[in-house]
Amino acid sequence: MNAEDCLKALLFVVLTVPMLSFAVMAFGLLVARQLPERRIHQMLAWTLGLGLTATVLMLVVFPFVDADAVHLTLGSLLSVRGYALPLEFVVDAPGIVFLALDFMLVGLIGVMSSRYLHREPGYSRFFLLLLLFATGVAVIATARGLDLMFVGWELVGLSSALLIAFFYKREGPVEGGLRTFAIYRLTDIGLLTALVTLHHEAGTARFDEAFGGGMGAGAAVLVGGLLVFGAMGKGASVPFTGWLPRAMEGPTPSSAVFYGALSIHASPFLLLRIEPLLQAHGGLRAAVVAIGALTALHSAMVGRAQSDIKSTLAYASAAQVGLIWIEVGCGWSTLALVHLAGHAVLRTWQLIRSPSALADRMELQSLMGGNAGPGSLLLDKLPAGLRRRAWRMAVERWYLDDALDGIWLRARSLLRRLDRIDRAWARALGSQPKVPAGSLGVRAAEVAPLAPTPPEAAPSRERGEAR
Amino acid sequence: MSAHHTPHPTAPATPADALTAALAHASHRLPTQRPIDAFVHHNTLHAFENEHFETGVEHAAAELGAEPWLSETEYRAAFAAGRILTVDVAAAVTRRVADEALPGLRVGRREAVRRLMLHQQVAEAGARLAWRLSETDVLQTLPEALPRDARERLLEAGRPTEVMPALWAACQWPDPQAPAMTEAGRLAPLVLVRSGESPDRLAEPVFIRWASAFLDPAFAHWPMAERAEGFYAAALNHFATETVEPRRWFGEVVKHAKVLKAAGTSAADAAVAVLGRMGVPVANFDTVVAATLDRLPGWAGMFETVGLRPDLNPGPMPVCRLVDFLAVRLLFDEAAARFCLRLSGQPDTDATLASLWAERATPALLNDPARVEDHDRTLKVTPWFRFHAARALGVTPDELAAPSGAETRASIDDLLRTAGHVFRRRLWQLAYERRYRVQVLDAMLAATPAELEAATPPAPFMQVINCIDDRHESFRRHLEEIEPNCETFGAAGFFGVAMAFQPLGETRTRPLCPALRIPRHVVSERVASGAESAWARARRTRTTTGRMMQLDSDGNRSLVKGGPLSLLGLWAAVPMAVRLLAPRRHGRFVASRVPEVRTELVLRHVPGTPNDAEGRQQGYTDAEMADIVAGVMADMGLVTASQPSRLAPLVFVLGHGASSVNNPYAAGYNCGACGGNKGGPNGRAFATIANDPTVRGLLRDRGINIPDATWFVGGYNDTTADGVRLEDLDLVPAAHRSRLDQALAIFDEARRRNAHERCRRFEDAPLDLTPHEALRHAESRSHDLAQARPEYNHAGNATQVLGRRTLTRGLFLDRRVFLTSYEPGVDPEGRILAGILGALGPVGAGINLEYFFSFVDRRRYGCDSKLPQNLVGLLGVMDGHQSDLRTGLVWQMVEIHEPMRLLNVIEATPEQLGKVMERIPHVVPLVANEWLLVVAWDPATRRMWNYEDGQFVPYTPETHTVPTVRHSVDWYQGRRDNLPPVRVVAEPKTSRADHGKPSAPGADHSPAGREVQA
Repeated sequence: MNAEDCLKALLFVVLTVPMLSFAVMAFGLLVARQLPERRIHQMLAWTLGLGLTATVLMLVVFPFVDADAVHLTLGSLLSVRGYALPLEFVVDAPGIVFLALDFMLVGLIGVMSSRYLHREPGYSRFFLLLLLFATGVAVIATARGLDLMFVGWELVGLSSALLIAFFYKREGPVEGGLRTFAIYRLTDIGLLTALVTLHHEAGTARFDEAFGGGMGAGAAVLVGGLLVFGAMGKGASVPFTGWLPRAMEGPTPSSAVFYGALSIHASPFLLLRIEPLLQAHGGLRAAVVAIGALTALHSAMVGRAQSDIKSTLAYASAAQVGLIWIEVGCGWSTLALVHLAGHAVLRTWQLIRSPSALADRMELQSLMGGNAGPGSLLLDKLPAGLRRRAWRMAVERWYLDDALDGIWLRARSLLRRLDRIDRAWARALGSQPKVPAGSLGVRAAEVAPLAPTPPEAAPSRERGEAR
Repeated sequence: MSAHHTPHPTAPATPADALTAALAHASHRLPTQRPIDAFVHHNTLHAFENEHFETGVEHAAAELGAEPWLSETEYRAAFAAGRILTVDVAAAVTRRVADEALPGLRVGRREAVRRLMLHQQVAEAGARLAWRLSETDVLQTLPEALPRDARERLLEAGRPTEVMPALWAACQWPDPQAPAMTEAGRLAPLVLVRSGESPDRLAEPVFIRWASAFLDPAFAHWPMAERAEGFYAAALNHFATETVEPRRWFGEVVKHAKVLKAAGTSAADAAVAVLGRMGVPVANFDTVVAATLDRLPGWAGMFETVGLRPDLNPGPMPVCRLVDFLAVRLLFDEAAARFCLRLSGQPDTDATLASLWAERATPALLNDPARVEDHDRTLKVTPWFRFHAARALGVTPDELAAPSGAETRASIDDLLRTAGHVFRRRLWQLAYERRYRVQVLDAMLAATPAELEAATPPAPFMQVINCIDDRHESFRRHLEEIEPNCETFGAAGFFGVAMAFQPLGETRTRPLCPALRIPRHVVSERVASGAESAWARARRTRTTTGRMMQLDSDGNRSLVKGGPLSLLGLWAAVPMAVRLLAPRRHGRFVASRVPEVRTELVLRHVPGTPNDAEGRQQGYTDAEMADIVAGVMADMGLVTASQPSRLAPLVFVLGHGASSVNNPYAAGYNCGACGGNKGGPNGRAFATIANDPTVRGLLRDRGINIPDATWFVGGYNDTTADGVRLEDLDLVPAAHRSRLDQALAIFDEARRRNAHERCRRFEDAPLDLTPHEALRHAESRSHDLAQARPEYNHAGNATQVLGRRTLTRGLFLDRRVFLTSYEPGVDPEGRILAGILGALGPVGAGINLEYFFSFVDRRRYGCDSKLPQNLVGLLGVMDGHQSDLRTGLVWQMVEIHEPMRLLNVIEATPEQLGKVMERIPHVVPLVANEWLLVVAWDPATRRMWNYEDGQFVPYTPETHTVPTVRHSVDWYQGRRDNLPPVRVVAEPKTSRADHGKPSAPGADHSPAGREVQA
């Protein structure tokens, strides 16, 4: 068996093990409703241990392969009218780095969570989603084409949203999850459109073939622009940065691995994959650099005015991802890869220690004999009026969320108006509306008459759910 | 949140006065939790202590929208499990329900209530009710569990398939009383109902952002500008200079801010103006202010709390006034409300707001759609309830339907109205507490006075003074089990040394004294002579560590430093992997790297030294030191002027604390008597003072004779890692060396056994651990970043004993009892008891009731799960990204608690206790209103009296024997749940060789203090 075959075999293991493990756990939960913590823990340890071992072996074997990349094709899925989702994978340097990050960080977070989430009613759900996430990241890391990467992208997005809304009985997590999901879906439009355009224009969505000059310049710039837009959601770029701090609603370890590390770095990873395209078109590179710079500036400024630890760390992450974007845009892909890996690890480490923020601050005071604290601030040198305004912009996060909310509110008003007109027409024509009120996100209370509900009609319970 | 307010007898005339009064009234009810770094336990419902416990709790629950008690389902589960017995239910009913006949029913009121407690179902309505009726067999069968007479009667009436539907039909008579309505306390829910848009969802995120930025002492790198004059002034400064406001709803706030700032309007006047525009009449100010503050009680409460003890704040704070908070909030609320109305195409004029306010009386459901269960409180009588009541009482459909059934129907409705689920849960709670009380009191009374005395060694060779903390109950028991010739005592863990302590190398002092005291003395730690070079090395390590931490912290925020730091970020994988995979080893490695520096405490005041900046004296004068020793000795009756010394040759004084990582609540795990700090320095200080020849001389002059042969050793007990560290061992006289070695071996064994006993409560610790493994497990928890439960803290607390240890020695009390040593023999006047009870009564109540309420309603009173929490502004935690500042205890801390009031068993007769209470008026409401339960115990006559409903009632034991075991481990081994008391009968005294040889060689005492370690 030569090095190449060996690498292929390892890749196969890396991909199938988390997927199988997810399937087994999901089936187990379907049958048994609840699995013992110890069982889940064992399964996770095996899965991630195997995955990490295989990845490390890949790292060892890879230098012995002659080619820059090794391809593995496992057939295709879902063939419809001449299109089939190709199961084509690639092993190359950035991919192995991302894979290694995936298994190392998810593994360590798994170790942490198995103790941190002890006795939590959603224990199995958490680990199920964590496995789904690990699978998604592995697919992103090794997909040869955009088709398959999109699948991984969606797995990551779905598990993200569900883990943000992990504590679904409170409003905040559900709102945060929904917001994240909405931003992800919005920017997914970019990916999906790019995918279709690629197939149409270049005839393939393979990263190593599609950008080789088969496309016209216009189409190439369009595809590039769409892909950059697609990467902006996961990368929390301006103007979408606001979802990132709001995603800090799940258990601390999941926030760490998703938004400190893997999920957010999927965006520069996508940019690295389309590097040939970026290199060929100066405009695209400029756009990437500009978005990165704006995000870095925005996040560094906003982060400084945050008074809670998780928002501070979220903005610190977004700022570094902005820097990585700049690096990719400038064509320094190796630097970007090193930065990406280092930042992912460091930020995860900082996030899982976020409950220590107070103790750390006190210890710092003690160690430095009271001399700790922020050094000189640029802000202090500004005139008072400007200083006030700059601070306000920072604390209000440049009003970016409010601007997005404003657009959404207007859109919703329009939809409601259309809905009302539609209903009026339907009534005028004498039909009963089939769509129940509330289907457009309209609260039932708005549509329902104001008459007080008779008390008997209300569901009642003694004290919520049983402990 | 509601309209249950009692109106003020004399409503103030002017709006401004009304607002002031309303604020005062409302602020009383806000949580008073301190910044989390100075966390101390306090009664969550402190504001309701002037009411009787039972009514106060129910009143608070109604006002604050919380659960008063556990659910009936939970109590019934406890009943089924034998945790509550039939006699307890009967006793509770007898105590609270009048013995009277119910017209038209065959059983009296007491029996009827008892049957409801056991058989009444939770409310069902709407679709759920329909489902129950059609899809379950509720209308087809007769449950076996019903009372036999009722079941027989109903079976006699016919086949259940016919009788049950008939009964259901017969229960459908109209209820003469209309369901109670509650009123919305704020405009926002009314606007939500009217417009379908929630003003709070617009206003609250922005408001929390501003409030937290304002309150932030030192967390953010960019603090809020111009906040010195308070929140309202700062907000006006910022908003009034706004030129372009991107948020549509916020425009109105900006508009008002400009006007208010130009006119120089005060916060109070601004608030009154908003209320006026909203159409709120002056008479309703109370309601609106209370409800508005209650939306974010944590943040509002912090505005009050940070002003009370500035010395406890984690950094400098601006001026915080609640009226500022209210004014800004109302400005936000008004703007958001109008915007929501506009958004839904409705007019947003003052008239609209006023009309909304006028219609505020709505069924409870509409107040807050998220809180449907409010609704239950108003609903007492429904056919569903009647049906179950009739079934349990054996009332047949014919009886109900007959013309003569009017009486029966009226009786059933009356019963349901007077014994609704809240009342029944209250009775269940009484029964729940009673069972535990009987177990504990019976166990205490089981031994004869002679048996009690026999357990205590006449001439102990070592004595250990611990904090009274419930967690030390097991530690003390194990010490005594291992060495029958050892005696233990409990005293408030600051040991009379109420100092502001300045550790070596630090500039800040920490108050090491109970939360309510402000220390008047500063004690600092300094390098002992000869240790300067070690300190120089240590200081270098500290500075390096500090610089690295600073870099790490700056790297979070600064783009420039963060870049290179992240580029090199892969190094973080090493500490992450090590600390997550081998927490204990990492902890020990780090500890071993910290150079040991021999230090000493600067305890003695040097005459002429000026006081520090806060007016505190540097050190204690000799007389003050003598007072401290005399006070503590007298409390425990160890030596006083009237009583000769009972001191052993070696007396250990152990302060305590808890070491945990990644735990924002760390202060809550430490010693409460040291204000949430680690009490090691207090033990050390006390021992140093008590060994001081000058102090001993002064004491001798007062007739208090500490024998020359007695030596005090100060130390520290870590309740999480079960560590014991003893200080200044090099000063121990040579004559004590062999005893000291013995003592060290005993401590080592005790901490192992203690860890073993503790581990049974941790579900993630296997039940078959050996004591050695258990200790390792405990140590690992204290170093583990991933551990949400480093220990269970006070989760067991249930009882407090004030009396001699003799009375409880040998009783297995399951770490649930605060043990305070008190010697009645030297206290004929009750002066000492008054001192102890006056200090510890409120402290015990604070701990106990905070656990009680955080368990009973974990979301409203407690702060729910720790997992998503987010530290904010060094002040406290939020749920996830943004929420109210959460107060109360996390679920991971209380999950194994049994909510019961603290049972104070006091060694005194009722008469003596009555006299003592006269001396401490501040404790009287707690006792008289039964927030604390009190039992007087006269061991000489083996009698006890329960303080119930205003009088001492003699207590009659239910059992006269208590099981005995040889060792504690025989009783708890293999069991995880709470255990009833048993008597641990020590083995007949044998040579000490049984308990392991003294393992530490005598010659090897390190110069400084040391960890006890075999």
